[in-house]
Amino acid sequence: MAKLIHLQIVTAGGTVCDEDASYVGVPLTDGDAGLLPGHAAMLGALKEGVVSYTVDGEKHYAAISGGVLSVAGSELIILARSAELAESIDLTRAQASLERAKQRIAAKSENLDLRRAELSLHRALARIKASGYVHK
Amino acid sequence: MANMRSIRTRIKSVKNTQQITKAMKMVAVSKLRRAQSAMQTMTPFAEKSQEILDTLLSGSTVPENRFISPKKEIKRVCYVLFVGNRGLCGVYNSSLMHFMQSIAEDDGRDISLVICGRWGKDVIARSGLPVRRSFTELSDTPSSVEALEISEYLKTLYLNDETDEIHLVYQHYISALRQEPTQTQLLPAKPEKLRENAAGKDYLFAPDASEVLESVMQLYINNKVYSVMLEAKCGEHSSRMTAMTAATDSTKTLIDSLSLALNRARQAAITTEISEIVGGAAALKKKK
Repeated sequence: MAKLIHLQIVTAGGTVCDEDASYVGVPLTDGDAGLLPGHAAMLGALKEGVVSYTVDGEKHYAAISGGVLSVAGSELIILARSAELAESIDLTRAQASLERAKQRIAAKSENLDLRRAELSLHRALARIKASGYVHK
Repeated sequence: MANMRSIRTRIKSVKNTQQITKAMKMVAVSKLRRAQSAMQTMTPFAEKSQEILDTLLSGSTVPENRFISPKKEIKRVCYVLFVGNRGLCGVYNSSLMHFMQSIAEDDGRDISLVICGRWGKDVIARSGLPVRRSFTELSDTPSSVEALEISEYLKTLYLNDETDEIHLVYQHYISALRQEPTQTQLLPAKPEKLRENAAGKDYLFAPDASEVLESVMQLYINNKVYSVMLEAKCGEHSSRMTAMTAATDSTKTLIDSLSLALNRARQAAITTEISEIVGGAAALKKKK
């Protein structure tokens, strides 16, 4: 059997994913990267986006909103601000928050925190993207 | 007879109170359990982020970070006060309030407060402490999402130079029976290295160490706010549990002494009645 990476996605609210994967794709702040078993020890900064991983030849997706990643030996740990598996994403809610974020940016009100609005926009986009992979 | 009736009403009302305090105790117990289990689910996350932090800080060069380097001048300090959502929990809120006031008196700098919890709007207003913002919508068993809202707000406050230091003030949870008012500094952060991680130098960084540190610090701060919040909640529920247990016990004693008084009154009434009958009978006999 081929070597696998033990992937864990952990948030403050609990462990979201704990699986042995043969491939993991992660959204690093400087671009997406794919990790295969036997990767060198690494620490990485993650932006909001979609984590994809292959378990038993089947692709899975999870939306995360920023965090860090640590690879050491065959252990891959993703610590995220928040994380959701694609199956459990509420698409209507994600779309609603996308609309809200868009409106907030478009309104350009006086005390708008642009950075935060953009972040929530990206978060919503990531969730919609992840759920799009499973609900077709 | 009027006396007996009033005692009976009294017993009834004390029994009602007892039911309420009992129910509140049960609610506090279950909420405490939930807050404690939330603390446990958070542990793996806290451990892992500490590990990564250790690795980063063991590296030969520790990069600068905006959350760690202290500001040049500390003029304005912000205190985040974690009070309970309501009273009826012994001295939990008031001792924290006293603690906060003594900090405020000792601190000569320009201070402001952020309140987390619903308790004591008027008490805080009367104390004259300058409140910057109140988060009153916190639930009794807070989720990490609620903590995020607060920590994001605090980070923005700090980064926009509206305050130079942020401290958290809360009841430190020692055991179910003991909490202690505590203050801890949130920003600038003082991350501690728990273990020397020799492997620190062999890591690859993507994209670079300073960006990874930034991400870790973001998580570290969120995490700290969340853990303090849970700890404060555990303290609130357990001290309410203690207070309600004591209240239930005192209603029991009160009911006991009231029933004793009731029995005495009843006995006295019976005795009077008997002596009246006997007296009456004797009077009739004499007439014959």
